[in-house]
Parts: sequence; structure tokens; C-alpha cells
Amino acid sequence: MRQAGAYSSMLVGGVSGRTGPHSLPLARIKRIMKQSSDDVRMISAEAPVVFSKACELLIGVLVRRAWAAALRRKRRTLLKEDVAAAVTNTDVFDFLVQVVQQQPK
Amino acid sequence: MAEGGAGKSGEAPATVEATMTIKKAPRAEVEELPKAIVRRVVKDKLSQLASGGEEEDVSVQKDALLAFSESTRIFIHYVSATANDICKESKRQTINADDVLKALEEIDFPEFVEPLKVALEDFRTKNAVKKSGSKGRQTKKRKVDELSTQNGEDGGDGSDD
Repeated sequence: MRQAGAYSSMLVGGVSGRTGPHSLPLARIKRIMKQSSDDVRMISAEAPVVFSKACELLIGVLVRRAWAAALRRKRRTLLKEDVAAAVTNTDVFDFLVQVVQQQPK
Repeated sequence: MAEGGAGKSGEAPATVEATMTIKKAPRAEVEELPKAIVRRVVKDKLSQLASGGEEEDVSVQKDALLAFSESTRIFIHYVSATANDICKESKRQTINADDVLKALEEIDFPEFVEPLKVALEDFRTKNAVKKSGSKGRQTKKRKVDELSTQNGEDGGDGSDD
């Protein structure tokens, strides 16, 4: 069971402005944001905060759909192919097609 | 990548990753999200989905975790690029939270907007408290505050950290 999060944030290392116990690190998010285009200039302090939560939501949706794919195959292990199925079956995940097609050998 | 964009001109960012690998030293310059945190978010979600004591059974293959992590990174790119466009259209220099929210609507994630607004308000409230309390030592003060309030709750920690 998750607690209110105060204790967990101590363990993970508090960054000011975190929105929860499992928050993605804001500085890292900001760097990734800057890598999205050549002309990204300034980013408000709030934008990475929004992203932190948005990423959690995205992972939530991906996990739910990948989990459904695994269940359909009667598995209790999430495999990459389940993530691939989730991406293929969901229109709004079209931008993720390249992720699940990569097969680094 | 030059963060200020200095000296880099005329390059079409067809794929950001390709641009970066060419320009950078061999070490991994692609910023990735911390695996442990991604893993935690995934496991949390799975335990919600498979509630009823089944979460012990659910495992996540390493490749799947990487896929989640990479998907999130690409998501940030995609939304950021969209938010950047929105920001520029409004003739502003700084991408703000609202640009991100609009971007999410534009790429068909409108269901994210409400929970994000809640999280944003939460953050703004906390920040306002910090600012009125002290000038610069925000993190420490907040931790102290949280520690003193959570003293009474200690001992109930059954989470698998």
C-alpha cells in the first residue's frame, strides 16, 4: 500500500516542487524537453512538473493496454511484444511505433 | 547539443536522436529516464490492475521496461515539440504549463488534462507556501515540515521498497 508519500520522497531524494513519491526527476525531464527541437529556448519551472505527471499517466495507459495484451495470451509476464501490441492497437500511440519496432541485437 | 542553440544553424531536426549521435562523443548523450523510477511507476500501475493479491505473480521483462522508458522519452519529445510550436505561435519565449496542456489536447490526450491541472494546482499551492515561508531554503524546510507531520504515521509501511 502506498502511503501519503512524505516518507518515500525522503528516500528517493526530494526535489523541490515534486508532485509525488515516484516523480520523474525534473531536471532530466527538462533536458529531454530541450532535446525535442533545436529551437526550444526557455522552459518555465512548471512545465517539467506537468510532464512528470503526464509521463506517469502515459505509462499508466501503456501498462494497462500491454497488460490486457498479456492477459489475452494468458501470460502473467509483461513482454515487449505486449507493449508493441498496445501501441499497434491504439491510434493515439502512433508516434510510438518506432519504439516498439526497434530491435537492437 | 548546445542548449542555447549557439553556433548550430541550418540543421533540420529530422530525427533528434540521429542528429545527436553524429555530433556527440561516443558516450550516451541521449537523456533517459531513471530505470528505477520507471519500474516503480509500472509496478504500481500493475498492482492496481491486478489487485486482489495477484501482483506477486506479475513480472515485467527487462525489454518491456525499456520499451516503457523509451516510450516516455519519445512522448516528452513529441509533446514538447508541439508545446514549443504553440508557444512560438503566441510569440512567447518560454514554454509554460499551459502550452504543455494544449499540446496534450492537440495530440489527442485530452483525458490527461484534468488530472494534470489538479497536479499543477497542487504544485502551485506548495510553492506558494514555500515562498511565503522562507526565501531560498525551500527544500529543506519542506522536508522538515513533512517529517514532523508524518511522525505519527510511521510504522505502517508495508510497501515493497
